[in-house]
Parts: sequence; C-alpha cells; structure tokens
Amino acid sequence: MSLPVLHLRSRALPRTAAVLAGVALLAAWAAHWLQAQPDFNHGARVPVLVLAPLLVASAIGTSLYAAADELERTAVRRWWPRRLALLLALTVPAAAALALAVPGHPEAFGAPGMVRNVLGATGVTAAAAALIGARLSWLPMTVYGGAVYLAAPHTPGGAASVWAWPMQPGPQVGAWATASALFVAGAALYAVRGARRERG
Amino acid sequence: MTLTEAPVRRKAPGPTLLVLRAEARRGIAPWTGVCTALTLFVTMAAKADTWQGDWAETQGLLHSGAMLLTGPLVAAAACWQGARDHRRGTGELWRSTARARWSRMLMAALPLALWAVAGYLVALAASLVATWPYAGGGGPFLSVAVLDSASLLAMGLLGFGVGVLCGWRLAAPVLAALMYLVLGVPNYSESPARYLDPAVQYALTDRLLVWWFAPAMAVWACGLAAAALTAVAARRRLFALVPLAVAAAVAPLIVHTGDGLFRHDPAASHLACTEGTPQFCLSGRREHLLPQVAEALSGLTGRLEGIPGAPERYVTRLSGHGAAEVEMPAPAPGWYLLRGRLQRPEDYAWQVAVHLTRRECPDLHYEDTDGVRMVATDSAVGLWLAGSRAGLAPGAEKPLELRRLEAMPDAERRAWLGRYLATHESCDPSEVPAL
Repeated sequence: MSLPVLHLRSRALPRTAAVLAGVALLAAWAAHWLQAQPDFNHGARVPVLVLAPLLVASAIGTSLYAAADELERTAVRRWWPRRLALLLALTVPAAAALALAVPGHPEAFGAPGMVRNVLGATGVTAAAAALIGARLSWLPMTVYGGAVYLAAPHTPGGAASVWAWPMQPGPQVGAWATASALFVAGAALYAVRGARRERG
Repeated sequence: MTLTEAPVRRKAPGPTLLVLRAEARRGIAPWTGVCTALTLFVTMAAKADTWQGDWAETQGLLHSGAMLLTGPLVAAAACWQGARDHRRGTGELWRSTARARWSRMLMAALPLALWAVAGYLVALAASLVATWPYAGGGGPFLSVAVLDSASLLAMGLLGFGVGVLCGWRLAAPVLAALMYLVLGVPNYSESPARYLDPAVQYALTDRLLVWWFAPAMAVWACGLAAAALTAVAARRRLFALVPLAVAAAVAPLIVHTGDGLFRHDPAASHLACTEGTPQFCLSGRREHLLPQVAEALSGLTGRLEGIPGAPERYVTRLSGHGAAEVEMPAPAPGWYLLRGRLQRPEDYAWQVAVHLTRRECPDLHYEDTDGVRMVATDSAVGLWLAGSRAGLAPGAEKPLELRRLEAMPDAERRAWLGRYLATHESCDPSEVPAL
C-alpha cells in the first residue's frame, strides 16, 4: 500500500468521509422537515446551520489524531503541507455538501451561512486539536456554539456579527471576517504544530 | 510540669471519599461545571432585558438554556469521561482489582454530573439575585430548579454509560447532537407525551406546576439513567429492570395528566386595583407596577375626565363589567417592562387607546363609505386620547379627523366625546357621530 494511502488511513479518512456524508444527508432532511412544519419558514433552519457545522468540525477535528505522534515527528519530510492538505481535503467537500443541504434563501440562513459556519467551526476545532489534543477538539466549539445559540440577538449585525458569528444570516461581513480569520488561524496553527500529543 | 495536649487524631477519609475527591478535582469534571455555568451566564446576560424582574421569565430562559444547551454538553463530557478506560487501555487492569465495577463507574460518573448540577445552581443563584431587586410578587419556582438539576444529573449518568459502551472518538459530539435532537424535537409537538421531555418549555406566567411534577420528572429521568448505567456497569445486569420499571411507572402519570400539570396561580388570578375612579387593575403578581401604569395613563384618563361613558376600570384581564371596563396590555419584560420600569409610556397609552376605541363588529363591511368613516373616527379618537405621535407612522401627517377633533372648542369636544362613547358598542356606522 502506498504511503499517502497509509497516511490517510492513519487519519481515519474513510470513516470521517462517511460521517461527513451522513451529517450532510441528515442536515438536508432536518432542514426540509423544519421548513415543512406549520407556521415555520426558511428561518427555522437556524439549528441546522449551527448543529451540522459543529458535527462536521468535530468529525474533522477528531480525525486529526495521530496514533504514532513521536514516530511521525521523526520524519524528514515537512509535515505542514500534508496537514494543511488533509484539513482542506476534509473541509472543502464538507462545506460544499452542507451548502447543498440548505438550498435557497442565501440572504438569510442558506448556503453562504452554512459555508461560513463550517469554516469557522473547523478553524476553532483545528486550533483546539493543536492546543488541547485532537480527541477533545470538539469541546471548545461545542461550548461556544451552545453559549451563543440563545444569547445571539434577533437583530443581525453590530458587535454580534463578531461574537455571535454562527447565528448571523449569510451576507453579514463581520461574521464572514470572523469565521474566515478563525479558519486561517486554526488551520495555520494545526499545520505548523500538528495535533497536541495526548495521554489517556 | 508541662501540660501537653493530646494530638488530635483526624479520622482518615474512607476510600470512597478519597476516590470521589480525586475524581471531582481532576480531569474533565470541574471543567464541565465551569462550562455549564459559563454557557448559562452568557445566555442569561445577553438576554437580560427579556427576563430580569420576572421570576417566570428568568427560570423559563434558564430552563431552556440548561436543558437544550448544557444538557447535551454534559452528556458529551460524561461520554468522554466514560470512554476514559478505552483511551488509556486500562480496562483489563481495572478488571484485575477487587473493587466492584458498578462502584468504580459510579465514582467516576457522579462527580462530573454533580459538577454540572453545581454549575447550573451557580447560574440559577446569580439569575435569581439579578431578578430579585426588580421583581414584584411571587418567587422562584423550586419545582423547575429540582427538575433541571435532576435532568442534568441524569444526562451526566446516561452520557457516562454511552461512553463506557462506545469508545469511538466521535461518540461524545455525536451524542451531544443526538441529545439536542431528542430534547429539542418534542418542543414542536402538541402531544401530552412531550411533557416527558425535560427540555420542553413551560409557560409559567401566572401559572404554577403541580407539586408532584418535579419529583415525578426526577424519578423518570434519573430512573432511565440509572437503568442505563446499571445495565452497563452492574454484574447482575437484570437489576437495571428495577429503575426502568420505576421510570415506566411514572411516565403514564405525566402523560395522562398532560396540560393538567399546570394550575392557575391564585395570587395572579386575583386583580389588584388602585383606589378611586378610574381604577387601574393588574394581576396580583404585578401590583407594584400600578403607580407607573396610572402615571403612564394619566394623560388619557385626564382627557376623559367627567365625560359620560368614560371607562371606570382599566384592567389587564376583562372581567365582564361591560363598557365601563377597558383592557390594557399586561406589562412584562420585553413588553413595556425593563427591570421593573415601564418603558415607552406614550406607546403604552396608545395601545390602551386602541383597546378603548376598538369595536367587536365581525359582520361589518369596512370598505363601505360609512364603515371607512367610522374606522377613521375611531382612529382619530384613539390618537387624540393617546396624546402623542405614538400611533402615527414616523413623518406621517395627522389625519383630517384628528385635526378636526383637536380644533374643536373644549366644551364642544367633551359633548362630542360623550356622544361618541355612547356608541362604543354599536356596529352601526350611522350611529357614530361624525367628525
């Protein structure tokens, strides 16, 4: 078996890809079901826009675990391009699949908002993998997502577009800037440092 | 001779206490408590305008946050804790020790669940202290606090059981998402079975929960969790049937009672009224707002003073006194009330004026010339009584009818208003005096 394939298997890529596909299908069904409820419209898709990115970010974050970390760090080749490529190879298809799960209404809670939330959540999770370890990397974004879920004001924009970026409608510039910055920072941190070594 | 005191011998803590203390101080357990409190603090602080000053709103939002947000989080953290032996590969080592498996599991699961409850209680205490200076009648709902605490405890134990069974790296966040769905989806249902969901929202304004609901929910939630943990951890797994049977015995009671789980709050049903004429009456729980309401409506009542047919009572809940009674909005946080102060009194007066000039005429054709005139007259009277621009769109000109009413000499206007109020219950436009 070739080295790249072995590397991808060591990062549980097949299982992670299956989870990402499952989450995308579940998100599409949930978004459709929520909209179909009496007295509800496309605005009812907010839970999907928060929960689905959280799940795919968790799947991506936990897949960054390196079982033989010490051994990998002895390699001659530079790791950062491989780590970055892996992260992008998981994030881009996940964002695209989830964007397709919420069709229409890009001005509210549709595809742009979903892509932004996937980027932001993955950035936070990648940073958490580098700082606290890949296996627990889902925790910071879960806590943050939970904290802003009910706290976000109903009116979008203002300071909330920065601190409550997962709860903003698609076109909010502040939310996009925050999520993009989080993704760049998280991806860079993970690419440079790799997942933190863990013991139990 | 020197006196020496016998050294005080402290009894060494038992092994159970030692283990509990170690588990409570280390690992993810304390962080779970911190995250629970933090999540609830952020939620409550950001929405303070909508609950501060009202016990029901305070505990309503805290209940939603505790169940829907921190409940899945606690389950996920407990799942991570339960999968500890999988991660460390210490399962066999533990099996070689003399300690019973269920005792070991309980010692590992309980501190985390208790930390979560502690985090909730800290947030609850802070929220109640924040509400107390602005609250009127009533008090905290002990039943909701018991229900939330027991449910968080149950979610901790349940999550731990899942973690013991499933060592999958993604098990914890997937469990959190599943818990969110299991807890959140019944909120969309109208079935009485939704009351088995501890996260269902309770409309507690002017209502109380029956006394046995909180203990019953505690038995239901903790019974299920205990059954799951016993099935995973006990040597005789059939013992799991005991807590399961207890939970199953309580569930039909809750489902069967359905909406009967709520009863009217006798103190809120009682109307507290001001002295004199006209009277202002609010729910007994909001008696402290009466002076502010009377002040906000002083302009409106002043304009109606001495006019025959003017309302004698302004109430938040009509009691069938006929034309002498007018409904007014019940001030609540997020609805004219902010930390015990009535907000936008002009708009509040306008709302009362709208109620005062509203007619119950389901068969009337408002497109007719007479119908249009009557609506315009009602609107002009409402705007004049409110005495401000609260009822007008920003930048809009005053309607002709309002200008005519304002231009009338005082005595003529009072006579006209008397004739107008006499037709308040009429649905015949020809009876309403023209402006």
